[in-house]
Amino acid sequence: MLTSGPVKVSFFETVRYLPPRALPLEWPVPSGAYDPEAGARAYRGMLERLEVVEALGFDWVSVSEHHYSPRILSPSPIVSAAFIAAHLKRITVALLGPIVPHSNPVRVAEELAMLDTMAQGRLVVGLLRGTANEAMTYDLNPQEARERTDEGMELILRAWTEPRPFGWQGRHFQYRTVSIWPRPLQQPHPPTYALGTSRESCEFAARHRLGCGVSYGPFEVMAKATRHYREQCARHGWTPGPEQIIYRANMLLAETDEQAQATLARQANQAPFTMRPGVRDAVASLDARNIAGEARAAVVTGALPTTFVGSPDTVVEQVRRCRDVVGAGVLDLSLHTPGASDLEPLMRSLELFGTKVLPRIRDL
Amino acid sequence: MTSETRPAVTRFQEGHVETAGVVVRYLEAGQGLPLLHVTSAGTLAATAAHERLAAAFRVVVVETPAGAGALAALADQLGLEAFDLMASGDAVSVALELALTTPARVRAIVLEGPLAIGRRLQARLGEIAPPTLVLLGTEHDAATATARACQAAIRNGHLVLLYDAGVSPAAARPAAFVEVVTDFLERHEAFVISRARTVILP
Repeated sequence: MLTSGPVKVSFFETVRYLPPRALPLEWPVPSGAYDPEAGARAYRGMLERLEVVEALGFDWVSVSEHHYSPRILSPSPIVSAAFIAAHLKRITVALLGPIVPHSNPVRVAEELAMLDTMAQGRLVVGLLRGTANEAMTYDLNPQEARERTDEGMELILRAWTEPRPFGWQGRHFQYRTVSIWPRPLQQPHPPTYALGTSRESCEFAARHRLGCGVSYGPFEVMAKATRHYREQCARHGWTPGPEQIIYRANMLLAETDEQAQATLARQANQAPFTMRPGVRDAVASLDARNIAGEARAAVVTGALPTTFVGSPDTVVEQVRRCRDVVGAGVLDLSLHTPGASDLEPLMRSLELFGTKVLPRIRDL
Repeated sequence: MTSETRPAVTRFQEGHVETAGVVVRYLEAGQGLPLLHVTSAGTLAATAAHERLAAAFRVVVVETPAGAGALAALADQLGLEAFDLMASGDAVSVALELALTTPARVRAIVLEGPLAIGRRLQARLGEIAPPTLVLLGTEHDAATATARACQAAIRNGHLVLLYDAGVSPAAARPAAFVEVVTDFLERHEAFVISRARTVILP
């Protein structure tokens, strides 16, 4: 067993957009197919859902950054997080974006400091490189994405903590004067994670005493990354606590195992962001990814795995195993129901999770 | 890691002067305004950064002499009436002493990874008049406190963090080092105004 004690639970809010008409499956999805009323319903629904999430006792609500697609309607996670923080009173908002390599790191540092202060310190931050398709959002060269992420993350940390104006002579970013106001309410900065399974991300997190976040993969595979992270932390002379490892995952919860498995079987093997083959292959050839140093495919070509499936009893045991194998003290959960045409199944899953699972995984 | 294009190699000439019975060795190359670089003891060598700087300055590299007096004597004997002054690591103290004793001759100062500034000198940093650039490698934790102290105390002090560099930013990333040093020595505090062009397709 790698850890013990309470498991924190985060609800991954993906802003469910229900299109009035079937949409093309490829990324980018044509902007002209967007329905403004459906978008307004999606954001209203998000708030209604999150009020339930807060009442059920979730610790965090998380948001992420994706572009040019209705799948996760949050191209600016800072806007999403600010909107959520303004409407909810207790829950911590986990901003598990922003995509660092195509952002202005100083601006990100400023906005996160504002948000932390406005939300009275209810902010958690995850910094990441982004999925392969996002390189094309703002014309980022995929080959530079890793270096820009590392440099941008370091600049954000410096912007939060340097006491006096400073210049930044980087490889990809250059500023002669940085001196942000406000600084974060949480000092020296909000709890911050370097998100991703790569060797570089784990080592960055360890060097800067940040948390680590992994996502979607099977427990044993994600454990390679979290093991590497802990080894690197030891090399830098410290030991991360359980709360410093986040595991984001899909969960399919039902009253019985049979119901859950039957629902999962209906899931189409659809990649989250389907690019045209020529683009997909070209991006994949330029965008090197790894899990703790072992090469992995840069582009996801099928549905993301669902690693928690079953009845409340089954899922509780899966959570226990996840904590033991991955070492994660925070679960960031996307509760999904493949094939559903409305949000009722999601709300039932939420209720089921809040009443039958959450109380039992607090102290596994 | 991005590779850096190397300029043509500049040949540095070695020389020495004697002052108060002490031999002070130096290396010299380039034309233009004089730039006197004081390095830590035992590190007298022409580096890639020196070669780049010599394209714009008359660069004189000198090992830490016994004191500011010897440094002033070297400047006298080389005919350096006024000059820019750069110092690295534990050589910054003698350079700052020189700036305090002969402020009119020092146009601007660059401190690279400053270390080991004594209390007496720290107390006088507020008297340093020339515009001063403090360069700190983001991996150089040992110099962080001194670098911050210099920037805070020197009236016209500026701090620039050189990403992915340690004890010697000039050695780790010579092109990046020279770009900011050259810009600062040319424009002093106005170097904070960007001249980068962003037009892609005019």
